[in-house]
Amino acid sequence: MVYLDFAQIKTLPQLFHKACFLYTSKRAYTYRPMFRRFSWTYGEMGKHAAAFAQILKEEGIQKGDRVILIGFNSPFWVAAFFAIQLRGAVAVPLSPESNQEFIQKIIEQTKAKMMLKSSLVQTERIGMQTLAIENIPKPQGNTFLSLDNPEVDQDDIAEIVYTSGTTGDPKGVMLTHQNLLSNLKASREAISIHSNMRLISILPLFHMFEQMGGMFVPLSAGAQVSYAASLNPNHLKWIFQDDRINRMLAVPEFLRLLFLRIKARAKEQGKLKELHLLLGIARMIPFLSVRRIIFKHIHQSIGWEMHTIVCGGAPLEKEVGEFWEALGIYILQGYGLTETAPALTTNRYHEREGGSVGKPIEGVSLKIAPDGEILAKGPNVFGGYWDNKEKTNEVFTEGWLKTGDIGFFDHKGYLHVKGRKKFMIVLSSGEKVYGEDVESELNGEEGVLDSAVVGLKKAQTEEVHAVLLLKKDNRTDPKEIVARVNKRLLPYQRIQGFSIWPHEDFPRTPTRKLKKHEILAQISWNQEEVSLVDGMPPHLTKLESIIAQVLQIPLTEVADSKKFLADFQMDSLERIELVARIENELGISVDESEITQHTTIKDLKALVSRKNHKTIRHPFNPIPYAPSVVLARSLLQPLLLYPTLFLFAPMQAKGLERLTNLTHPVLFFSNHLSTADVPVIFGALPWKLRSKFAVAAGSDVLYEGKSLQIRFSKTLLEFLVPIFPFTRRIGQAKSSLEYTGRLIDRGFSILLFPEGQTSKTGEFQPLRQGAGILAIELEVPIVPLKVEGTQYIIPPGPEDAPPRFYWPKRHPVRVTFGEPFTIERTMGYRAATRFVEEKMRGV
Amino acid sequence: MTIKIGSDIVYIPRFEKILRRNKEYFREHVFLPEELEYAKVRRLAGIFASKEAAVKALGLKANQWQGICVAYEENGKPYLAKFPLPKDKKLRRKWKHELSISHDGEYAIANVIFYA
Repeated sequence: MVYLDFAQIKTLPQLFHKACFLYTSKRAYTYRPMFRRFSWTYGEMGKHAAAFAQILKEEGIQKGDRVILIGFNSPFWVAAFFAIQLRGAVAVPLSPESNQEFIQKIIEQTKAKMMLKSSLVQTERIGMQTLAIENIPKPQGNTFLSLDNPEVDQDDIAEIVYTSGTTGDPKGVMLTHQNLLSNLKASREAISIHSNMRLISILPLFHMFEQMGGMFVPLSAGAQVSYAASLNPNHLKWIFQDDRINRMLAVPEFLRLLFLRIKARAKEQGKLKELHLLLGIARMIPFLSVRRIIFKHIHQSIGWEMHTIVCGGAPLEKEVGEFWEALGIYILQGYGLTETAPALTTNRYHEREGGSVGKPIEGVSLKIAPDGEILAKGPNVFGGYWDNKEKTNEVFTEGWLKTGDIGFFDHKGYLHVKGRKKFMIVLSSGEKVYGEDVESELNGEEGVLDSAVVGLKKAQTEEVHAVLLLKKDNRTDPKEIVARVNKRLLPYQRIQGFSIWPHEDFPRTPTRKLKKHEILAQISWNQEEVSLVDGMPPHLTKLESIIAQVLQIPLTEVADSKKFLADFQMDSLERIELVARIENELGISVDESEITQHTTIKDLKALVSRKNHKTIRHPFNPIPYAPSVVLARSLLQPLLLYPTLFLFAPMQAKGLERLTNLTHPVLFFSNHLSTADVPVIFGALPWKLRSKFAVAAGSDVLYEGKSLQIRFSKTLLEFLVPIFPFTRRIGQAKSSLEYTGRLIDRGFSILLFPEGQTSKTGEFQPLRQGAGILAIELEVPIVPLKVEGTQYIIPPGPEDAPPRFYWPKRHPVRVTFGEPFTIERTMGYRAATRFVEEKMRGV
Repeated sequence: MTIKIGSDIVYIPRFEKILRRNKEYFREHVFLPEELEYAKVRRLAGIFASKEAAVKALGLKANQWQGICVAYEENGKPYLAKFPLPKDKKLRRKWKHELSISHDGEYAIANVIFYA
């Protein structure tokens, strides 16, 4: 095991060079923009960043220039970030969801020279030089040690991070190389890390918590990071399972939502008691690996290897933390600020305390001010805000940074954070209430999704006011909830008033912290409106606000009896927007055709309240592709295959010499004449290619039937061939393409029949559009092939019918392989489909 | 002779706003992958107008956006590469169509005629 020698590393470019050099051939980053997994080694990353830096140099970026970086998490983001560092320039990472006005403001403030932007981010034209981070040409040769870049000093500014923060105006936090590296060093020592860490990165990289934990730390240890291209649960599951993720950074909100979902699922299945019992048992077992076996269903979906979740960004409730630990996953909660680059304290594996944020990391000293505020000092504390002396002076007191958080040390030396100083509620009696204390009680209640406790100003004094975000299916009266919670609270903490939050979610910062000042502002303004909607289930309230927004009418006009067409003249675009937003924001899919001329708002409410079934998805089944099964198959297949072929299909194979140079994975496109095609093609293939092979089967034929016969033949074919489900429905191809991508990532060659069905006449049919998408996105060589004569062995059955058993007739067959080819990405899907079709006809 | 006609006009800025906000839905339920190759808002507005025109002409249900595919010939003339055919077999064979799309400023308009 090789480690970086931190004594010699003073700046980020040095760290980057050393890490890329030391871990050259280690896999560094994986990314799945479409259906395939792409991975970069550290060496490749080094070369990319160097090539990128070269481009920046040609564009005239000098030492100290500010460069704006906007993009979603991806290896390209990392390359762009380090390219900026290599040039000695200052990175200004911004959220990809920033609006035009904000970006413009930051550009003016920082006098940025250039903007690096992901092509996925939509911005209107900004009057400045812009480069897309994905369009960097592949570097040639071994160039990652190009050292004609300017010298960087450890006290130079490395980046300016803008904190939207929980309060007011954005401020640019200037972080130097030393700030970042000292924090990196201390964080590494606090949480022991090593190179077989496999991390998933889902929090935004422009935020310091993910940047430190999800970029610098893995880089310094040679660990692997998987960037999620989307937060879709299926996409995440794919990453968890295939990359065997064992570490992740999360915000409490994420853990809490998952916790609630697992509980809700258990309740739905009537297993809530069982879950509580198991949790109780698990807590008594000291071995985390045993706990994992108890909760195998949960661990199965996250790939069996999840070991540690580092949690930060906001306070984590004790109950949620304990739940995850009972599942057999370490939860290490830490605490920090952007201003401290970012970590201040963290729990360690051997020093953990539920509910606390741990002990200070090395080099950091903390003390508690008389008013309870946490003060910090250390090499990682920033020097000041960009171009804002006034604010800088405000946050420092005698050389200590005022964190703005209230907290205390317990007798064992663990820090506990009570909440933001700003949001502390001071009652007329002078007693202080921390919203977080009341919130954690409220959030433990059934039916409450989240809550915010704020101090509502009422004639000179403040009252403890709770804002509740209720679950969609909540049936309990909110009054009862508040009354129950009040019983458990201390007398002065008790909730004096409450309102129901009418929107889908609270306003939040990028790390999902509540923006309490916004909540408070809205509550103080709209008190009447909020109380108006008290009695209705929240999802219908939300539906009403969606309708009002889409049709651009005031909320009061949304009445049950009104018809969409007659009363609001809704057109098709509005209908699409309505349906799309219901799907996005309520998670309920409504078929557009269900909203007709006669639909009233009441009808739509009924539609939304009804449970909908979703599109069919076939979960990835890894068993047929396990090495042992592959071995068993390769022994069994010849025993069955060759005698059958000898009996029924005397074979003539042509063009085999074209396959000699091919290695897995390859995509075979064949015409489809009958069910006998598959064994015949198998018989024609050389053993080398046949050993790892999968065949796409129409999912509607074999995978959606419930009868015993179909299920049996499905399992048998999965073992013998193996087949995998591929949908033939229009608009649902995405999941099938992902399935194919996963197989190809595992090195399996794929046989596909792009005509989509057997040809009744023996003639070649036009291809499905999916063929072009596959040909381009999978980026593997394609072999067109042609089968002749199989329709006489087993005649094709009627369309869409499940396979029936025919007694095969003997007939000679011929299989011809065409010249392998690849398709350039620039060709486009439609042209690619045509191209493939021509190639297949040409065989 | 049977003739069916449909037309639609799209105000591009509004279309763009809705499209950007609900990209996922448009990708999954309205446009086909091959149409998205022309992913320019003006083009997509034209394609959307053509779909709406065809829906009007044929009296289709609202969930059949993806049953209609707009494509362009080499010379740039648009046509419907795919659309639901009438049930009547005789009509089906002779069924023909013409499609015309036009943009100006902030509007896109499409006319479609089916005849047999």
